[in-house]
Amino acid sequence: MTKADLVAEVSKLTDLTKKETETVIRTILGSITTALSEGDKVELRGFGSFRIRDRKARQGRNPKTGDMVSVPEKKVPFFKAGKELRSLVDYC
Amino acid sequence: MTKEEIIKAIWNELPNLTVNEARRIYETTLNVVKDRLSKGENVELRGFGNFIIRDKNPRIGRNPRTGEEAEISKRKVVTFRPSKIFREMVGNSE
Repeated sequence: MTKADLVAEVSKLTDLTKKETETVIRTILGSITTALSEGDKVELRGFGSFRIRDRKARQGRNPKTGDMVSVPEKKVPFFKAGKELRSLVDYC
Repeated sequence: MTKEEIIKAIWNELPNLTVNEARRIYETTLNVVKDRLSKGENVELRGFGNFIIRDKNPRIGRNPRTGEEAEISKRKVVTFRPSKIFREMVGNSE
């Protein structure tokens, strides 16, 4: 499912126009990305939580040339599925 | 940030809705995503990231409390791969 499919389906189920539904979906996703980029976490009951994980600095290699490069420590977005979503996905 | 703050943000964008309508639309959106994932379908949201269903093979694990070995059955799990934009937003934050 793509974002366009999601917009079409939500719009059908809610009687919102496609344009309004796009705004809703953009707002939901934008709230999550903004919260994480501000160092906040997002907990959505029944769905899961988004938080920031720290990745340690490490030695990596340029896959093309094989040269060693040092990869600095960084923060990455991380999603953990909630209990309900985990069991929905597993029982099918 | 929680669900209620996201609902308020939706209502701010579409003030012609009532808060209850905004809540219902939020629930519907998440339910559609959950429903597709539970059917084993991936959900790809450009600019945000992809929710991907992965099959995990059975393996022998240990009960961390008792140390007993137990087989962990074959299962499906959902993983999230954030988009480049999302990773950059978080990576550049302080």
